[in-house]
Amino acid sequence: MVYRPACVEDLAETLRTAGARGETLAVTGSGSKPGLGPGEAAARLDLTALGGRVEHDPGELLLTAPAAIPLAEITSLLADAGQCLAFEPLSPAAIWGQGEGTLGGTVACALSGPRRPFAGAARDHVLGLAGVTGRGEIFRAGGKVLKNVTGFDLPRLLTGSRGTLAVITELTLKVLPLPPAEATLRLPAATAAGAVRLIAEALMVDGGLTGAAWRDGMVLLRLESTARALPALVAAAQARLPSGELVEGAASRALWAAAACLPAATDAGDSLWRCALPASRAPALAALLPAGAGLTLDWGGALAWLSLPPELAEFDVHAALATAAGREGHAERLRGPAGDIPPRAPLEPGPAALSARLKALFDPAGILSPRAAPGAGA
Amino acid sequence: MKMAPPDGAVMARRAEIASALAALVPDGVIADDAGVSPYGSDGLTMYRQSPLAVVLPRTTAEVSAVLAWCHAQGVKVVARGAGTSLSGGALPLADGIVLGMARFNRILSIDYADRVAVVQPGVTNLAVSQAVAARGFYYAPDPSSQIACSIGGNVAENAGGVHCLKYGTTSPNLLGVELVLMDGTVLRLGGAGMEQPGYDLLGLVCGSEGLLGVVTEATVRILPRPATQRALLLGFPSVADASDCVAAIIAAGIIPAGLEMMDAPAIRAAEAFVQAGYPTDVAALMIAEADGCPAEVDDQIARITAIAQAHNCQHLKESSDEAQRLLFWAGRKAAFPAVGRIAADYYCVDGTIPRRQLGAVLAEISAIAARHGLGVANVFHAGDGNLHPLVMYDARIPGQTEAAEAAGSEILKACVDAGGVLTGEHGVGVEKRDLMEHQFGPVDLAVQSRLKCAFDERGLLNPGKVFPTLSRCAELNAMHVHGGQLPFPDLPRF
Ligand SMILES: Cc1cc2nc3c(=O)[nH]c(=O)nc-3n(C[C@H](O)[C@H](O)[C@@H](O)COP(=O)(O)OP(=O)(O)OC[C@H]3O[C@@H](n4cnc5c(N)ncnc54)[C@H](O)[C@@H]3O)c2cc1C
Ligand SMILES: Cc1cc2nc3c(=O)[nH]c(=O)nc-3n(C[C@H](O)[C@H](O)[C@H](O)COP(=O)(O)OP(=O)(O)OC[C@H]3O[C@@H](n4cnc5c(N)ncnc54)[C@H](O)[C@@H]3O)c2cc1C
Repeated sequence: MVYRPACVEDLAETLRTAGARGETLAVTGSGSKPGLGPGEAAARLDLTALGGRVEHDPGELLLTAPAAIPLAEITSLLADAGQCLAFEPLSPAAIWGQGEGTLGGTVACALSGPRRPFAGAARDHVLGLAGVTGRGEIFRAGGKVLKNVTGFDLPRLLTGSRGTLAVITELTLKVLPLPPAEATLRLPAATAAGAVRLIAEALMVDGGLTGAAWRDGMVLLRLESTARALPALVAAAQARLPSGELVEGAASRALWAAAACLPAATDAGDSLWRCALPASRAPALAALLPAGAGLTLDWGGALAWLSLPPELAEFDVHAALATAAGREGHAERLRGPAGDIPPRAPLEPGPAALSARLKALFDPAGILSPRAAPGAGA
Repeated sequence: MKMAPPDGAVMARRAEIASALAALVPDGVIADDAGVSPYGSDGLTMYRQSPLAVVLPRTTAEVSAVLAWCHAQGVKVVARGAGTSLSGGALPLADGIVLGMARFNRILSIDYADRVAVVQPGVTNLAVSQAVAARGFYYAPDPSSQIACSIGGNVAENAGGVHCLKYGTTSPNLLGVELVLMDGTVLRLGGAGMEQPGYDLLGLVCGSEGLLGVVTEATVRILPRPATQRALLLGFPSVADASDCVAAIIAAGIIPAGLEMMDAPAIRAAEAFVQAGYPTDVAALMIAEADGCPAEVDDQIARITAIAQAHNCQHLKESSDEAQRLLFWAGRKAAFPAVGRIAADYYCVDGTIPRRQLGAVLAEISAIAARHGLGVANVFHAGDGNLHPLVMYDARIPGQTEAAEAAGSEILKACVDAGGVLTGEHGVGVEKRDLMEHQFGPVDLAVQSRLKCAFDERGLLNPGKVFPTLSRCAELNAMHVHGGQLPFPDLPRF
C-alpha cells in the first residue's frame, strides 16, 4: 500500500486514519538513505506530491522551502546566489547510490558534513518548520528569523528524528555565504594519532579553517576566504605547520566534494560505519581496528568512518567505540549486511526512557517509521 | 500578568517543608521572610513574589534528593542561577521553593585537546572565558550580563551575545549537560563529542527556561581567541540608511563577528555614561567588528567601509588598538544601565524581526511609546534582527508601570505581525507568556506543551512560565486538536 497525499490536509487525514487503524507507515519519498530509512511498515507514505513555494532571501540569510524538494535543487539555487547550506550535508548518493534525496530527508537524517565543527551542525541551521504529528495535527514551530528562543526548540528536536515523531512539510533554514576562494593543504600523516596531533595544531591557526579531515595517509586542511585574504591565510598556516602540498581553487573544491562523500571510495560490499567521538579518542579507536579495516577521519578527528570488508562484518564496532571513548563514543552502521552486530547500540536508560515518552506523545499509535525510532533496531 | 492561585494546602506546610528540605541539604535552606526576600525577583523587577523557601544545594545528589522529595510531596520548584533573567523566568512561586544553584560554582575540567570545558551551572559566563584565557581560548557566547549571569541560566535561556551572528548562541556551543528531572532522575545528555545518538534531547533542553530539568553540569566548547579583532564605528543620518547598510553587508557575503546598532536616544545615553567616543549627531550608530587573521580583518574592514560609504555613512572611526575597540563595545554593552541613568526605570523588550522590516517596526515602536506617553531608546543586534527597545518610565508615577507593560506587549505584537517572533534571547518567562497565542496557534502550543509531559508529567518544575495555559498531561494526551480548534475553548486561563 502506498499513500501519496497531495496536500498537508490530506497528509493529516492519512495519518489520522492510519493511527485509528494502527497501520504503520514508512515515511519516505525517493528512499535515498535506505540505511537510515524507515524500514518495514504496513504501508509507504510517499511525500513526493507535497509541493510548495521556495523563498530565498539572501540578505536575510533565510531559505524557506517544501520538505519534499530535491536537495540538489536547493544546493544549486543557493550556489547561484553565492550561498550554501553551511552544514554541508553528506551526499547520500555516495553511500547508497540512490540519488541525493530531499531537503526534508536531509534534515530528518541530519548528516552534517566537513564544515560541521566550524559552521555548526544541521540542527544549528533549522530555524523553523511546519509538519504533521503522528496524531495528524498540523503544526508550526520555530520562526522565520535568525534568532529566536520563543517556546521549546522543536526544530532542533525534529532535526535528526528520522520521520519518527512528525512528518516535516516545510523548512526554514539559515543559509550562509559560500566563501569565494578556497585552498587545501595536504600534509602526510601515517597514523590517526599523527593526524589528530597535526589537526590540533592547525586548529590554532587563525581563522579561515573550514575543513579538517584525514584519509589515505593525508591530512586535508581547507582554508576559505576572499581571494584577497586567502594567500595570507595560507601563508600563516604554512608557517605553523610542517610542509605539505597546496591544492588550490577547483581542485580543492573537488577534494572536498569528494570529502563530503568520504565513504565513496569504499567498496560497495563493505560495511560502512559512522562513529562520533571526541577527537582525542580517535587514535585509541584506530588502535583497536583489525587489519583490513579502513578508517578515515572528518570533523578534525571527531567523526570516524569505518569500512569493513565482508570477512570483518562481525567485528564489534560498538565494543570498540566503548573501549576507545566510553560513553562519549557511538557508532551507527549505515550500510552493510545485517549480522549479529546491531546497527546501533542501545541508548543509555535515561535518554531511552525520555525518547520513548516523546515518541508516545507525538505518535501514540506508533505509526511513523516505527523501526527508525531511537532504540528500535538496537 | 496573573499567576495561578497558589495552593493553600502547600503554603500551610511551609515549616514542615523547610525542615524536611533542611534534612536533605544541611545548612542550605532559607525559610524566613527576610532571608527569602532577596530571591523575590529576577532582572524583571516589575514582578516580585517571595517563595516558601530557598534551597541551596551543593551536589547533584542533593539536587536529586530535593527534587524527588518535592515531586513526591507535590511542591513546585523554580531553579535559579544568577537571577538576571529579563523575562521573569526565575520569578518564584508563592507555593513553591527556589532551588538556587549558586553553590555549583566550580570549573570541573578543561580539555584543550578536545576544546571543551566542563563547568558547574553556577559558574558565571565570563569566568569560563577567564579560566581558559591564559591558553589563548575563550567561550564564545557573550551576553551583556556575562559578568553576572550563570552558565545554567544561559543554557536555560539559550542566551546570545553580540558575537552570536558568527559564533552562535548558547545552543551550538553546548555539547553536553547533566540534568536532573523533577522526579529526581539524573541523566547525561551529550558529552565531549559533537553528536549524540537518538533524538536531540540536548537541543530541546537548551532554551527550555527551566521547565524540563535542572542542569547540574555543562560541557561547553571553547575556541582559540582570534589574534586580531577590529571594530568600526559607523554613524548614519537615518535608521533606514543604517539598516540598508546591514543588509548590503550580509548580501555581500560578509558575516561580521559583531554587527550592532543603536538609535539616537540610546547613543546619547551610552555616550553620556561611558564616553566611548560615539558621535551624538547621528540618527543611527553601528558597530561592526571583524576578527581573524590580520589580512582577513583588513579585507573585511575595507569592504565594510566601502559599503557603509555607499549608504550615506557620515561618521566613520576604526579602532586603532585593543583599548579603543573595547571602549567602542563598552558603550554598547552598558546601554541598558546607561538608559537606567536617564530614566527612573526602563523596561527592556526583546523581539526579533526580519531585518528588512526594521525601519517600519522602529517607527511603529516610537508611535506605540508615544501613545503611552513614554520615551524609548533602541539597541539592536542588527545582524540577526534582534531588537531591544528600552521603554522608559517611572514606577513612582501611578499608571506608568502598567503603561510600560502595555507598550511592551504592543511592541512585541508588532514584531510578530511584521513576520518576527516574541523573543530573540531573553525568553518568554512570565513576561511574554500571555502573548504566546499571538505567535502560535492552539495546536502549535499543544504540541510544545506535550514535551513538558515527557520530562515533568506533574507540572511541578517552573509552572506558570512560557505557556499561557498549562493543561494537565492527561488532557493534552487525550486532546485531538484539528483545524485550529481547541476542544476545550473555555479551559481556565490564568
Ligand atoms: C516537486 C518535486 C520534485 C521531485 N523531484 C525529485 C527528483 O528529481 N529526484 C528524486 O529522487 N526525488 C524527487 N522528489 C521526491 C523526493 O526526493 C522525496 O519526496 C523525499 O521525501 C525523499 O526523501 P529522502 O530520499 O531525502 O529521504 P528518505 O531516504 O526517503 O528517508 C530518510 C529518512 O528521512 C525521513 N524523512 C524523509 N522525508 C521526511 C519528511 N519530510 N519529514 C520527516 N521525515 C522524513 C524518513 O522517514 C527516513 O527515516 C521530488 C519531489 C517533489 C515534491
Ligand atoms: C543588564 C543585562 C543584560 C543582559 N544581556 C543579555 C544578552 O546580551 N543576551 C542574553 O541572551 N541575555 C541577556 N540578559 C538576560 C540574562 O542575563 C540571561 O537570560 C541569562 O542567561 C540568565 O542567567 P541567570 O544565571 O541570571 O539565570 P536566572 O535569571 O537565575 O534564571 C533564568 C532561567 O533559567 C532557569 N535556570 C537557571 N539556572 C538553571 C539551572 N541550573 N538548571 C535549569 N534551569 C535553570 C531559571 O529557572 C529561569 O527560568 C541580560 C540581562 C541583564 C540584566
